[in-house]
Amino acid sequence: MESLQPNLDSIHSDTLPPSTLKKSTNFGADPNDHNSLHPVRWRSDTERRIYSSKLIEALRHVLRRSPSLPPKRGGGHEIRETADRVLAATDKGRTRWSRAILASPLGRWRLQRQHKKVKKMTRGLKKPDIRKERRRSPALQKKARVLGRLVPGCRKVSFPNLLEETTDYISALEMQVRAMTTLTELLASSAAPADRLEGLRA
Amino acid sequence: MENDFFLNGSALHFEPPSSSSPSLPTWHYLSSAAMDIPVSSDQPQQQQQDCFYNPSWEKSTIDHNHHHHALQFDSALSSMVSSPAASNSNLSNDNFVIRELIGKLGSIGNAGEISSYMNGNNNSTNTSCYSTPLSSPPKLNIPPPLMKDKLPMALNSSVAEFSADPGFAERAAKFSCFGSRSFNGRSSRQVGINNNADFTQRSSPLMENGKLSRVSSSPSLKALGSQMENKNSPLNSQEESTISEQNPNGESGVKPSPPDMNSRKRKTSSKGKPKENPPKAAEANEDSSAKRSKPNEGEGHENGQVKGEEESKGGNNNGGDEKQSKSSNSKPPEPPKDYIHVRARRGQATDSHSLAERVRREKISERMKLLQDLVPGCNKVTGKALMLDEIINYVQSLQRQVEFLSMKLSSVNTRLDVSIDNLISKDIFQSNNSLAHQAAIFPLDSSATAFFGPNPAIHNTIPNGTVNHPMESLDSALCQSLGFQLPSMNGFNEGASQYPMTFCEEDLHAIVQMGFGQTENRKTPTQSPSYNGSSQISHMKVEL
Repeated sequence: MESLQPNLDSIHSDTLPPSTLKKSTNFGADPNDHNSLHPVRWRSDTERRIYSSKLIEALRHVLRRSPSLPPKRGGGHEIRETADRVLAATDKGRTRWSRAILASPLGRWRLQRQHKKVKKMTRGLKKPDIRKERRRSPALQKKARVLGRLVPGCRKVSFPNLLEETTDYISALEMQVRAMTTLTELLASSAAPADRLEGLRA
Repeated sequence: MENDFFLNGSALHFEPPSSSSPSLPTWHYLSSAAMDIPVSSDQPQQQQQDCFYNPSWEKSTIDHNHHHHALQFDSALSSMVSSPAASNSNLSNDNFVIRELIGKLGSIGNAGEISSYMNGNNNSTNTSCYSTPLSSPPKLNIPPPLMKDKLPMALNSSVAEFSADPGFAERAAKFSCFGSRSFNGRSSRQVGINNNADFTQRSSPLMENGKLSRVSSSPSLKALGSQMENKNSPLNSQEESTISEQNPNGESGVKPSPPDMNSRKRKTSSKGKPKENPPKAAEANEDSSAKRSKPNEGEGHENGQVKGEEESKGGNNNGGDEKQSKSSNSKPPEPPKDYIHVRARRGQATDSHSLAERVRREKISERMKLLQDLVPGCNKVTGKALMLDEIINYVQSLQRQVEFLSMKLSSVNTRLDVSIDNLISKDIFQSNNSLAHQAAIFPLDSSATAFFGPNPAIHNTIPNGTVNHPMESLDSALCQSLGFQLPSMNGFNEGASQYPMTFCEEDLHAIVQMGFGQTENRKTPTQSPSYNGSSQISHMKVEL
């Protein structure tokens, strides 16, 4: 199974352009060294393992706190926020979005939804600078705003920085989805037989 | 015209040899009324004037000024040379005087060229003064490139244009000396100044005389440094003198060469102006020179700005020159900014604004390329708007996936309080590794969940050492949750269309048939063609 790793690297490197080829081969090295290795950092297995373990710990704490909590939408949100916070913690505050997540852990999504509506009202009145208007077409600007809202903590970030944050955020999200998926599967698979057994017993 | 010339010529000979300022009265007569130039300004200047108009003192003055103001002397001399050349037919006296001057100039190095040029001119032209301005400029164009190291071509051409008024030419020569002095003192102060605010100052329009504008722009250009390097082309005696003063170690030899090339081009553009009205230009020259005496900075700035615009318009022509001028002008103090210095490429505008914009654009395009690699399916899309659309969709889909997974986790976790501990203790790290490997092989993509619905068979995960029963339960649970999830994903058509369903189905069925018993072969339906899922699966088969 260990031999899969080099294949993994090669696969990833094939898809990546030559510019990032050098970075992708840096798997064994400490991925937390350079900020420039943004997308590669999150693809490394070590990061995934770190995240998974942290996530499991966090989930355990969450469940311990409220073990009798029935499954509902709120539970899903709790876990989602937990997962996001763990992801941001794994990033160790290197990126803007991770710091934003860590800074506002309470009901981030609900607040965001409110902010979205408010923002839409006010943005129409605001007039962009003449310079910026010349550089960015209004369509691009709108899309940049939308993207800024999607990435946590990047609402008023300049366009190039926003793109950088998005790059890191996308790779982090990918890693998060992967880790959570495996975790879910694992837990589900291990839980299913227990349920089955209980069902059989009953 | 001729009378004026005669007057000047007589003035030349009337200068008393005794005092050190013999030519002053003549200068005053010629220029004071219009210029208000302080006579008592500089001693060397007077000496220079002397040497211009006192052939008898040429030697002494030349020796005096040679090491200090050789350039200034040359410029003034060139004006003298050109003016007689224009009206050569009229006064042989002046020609003789000038030939003497030229002969003396030979010691400086330009005499040969000038004399040859002069001779040619004298012999060829025999027309009136008015016609000579038209003929002389083309001739002047030839020698200046040869003498570019020493003589300012702009001055020559402009002087030739005004040759109809030789007295004016003399005045111009005098101005060149005077201006260089003042600019020398000023340029040192302006070196530290390095702001775009200078451009605003420059906008004050005083462009009555192209020649003078070029002259006065030199100090401002020096101050602007690398940003305005392409505009340092005004070749003037002033500029050269300022350069020599600032960098006496030989930069003057370097600087004039690149600016000369630019100046040559600029001459063609701006020559039309003085040519059109030589007589008016004389007055304009006087007026502008009078104004020039006051705010030289403003003029210089404005002229620099104008030149900058000219340059940017003719950017293609000056592309090569810009490079050279930039390389040569890098020696003058660089703008004290903490920004990355950008070099304008050939054929591109060299405005500071456009440079900054170009840097910005490059940064943005770099990052967009990175994102393009990250987001699947963006290779076909071109343009920032569409790319941003794709990116937004991808981020939204990833976030939805996370939300969905968290819900799933919560639903699973409620049943697994105990099992979590067990898993943590033994299986997690072990299976996580294997899972991680496998999961990594099939990287998740945006429209992954879109596959869930149509292909429930995809989720044929074979747990560790367990029977396939849990698979069904998992599938049913997944389908339920996916059925809930699907409507939200269906709107996401762009991503779904990218992933052919048949592709995944075949591979997944193959995997299922393989019958992995020991390790979980969980194929996440998140493959995109770009990731070559089949190759990954084959790898899986081979390795496992």
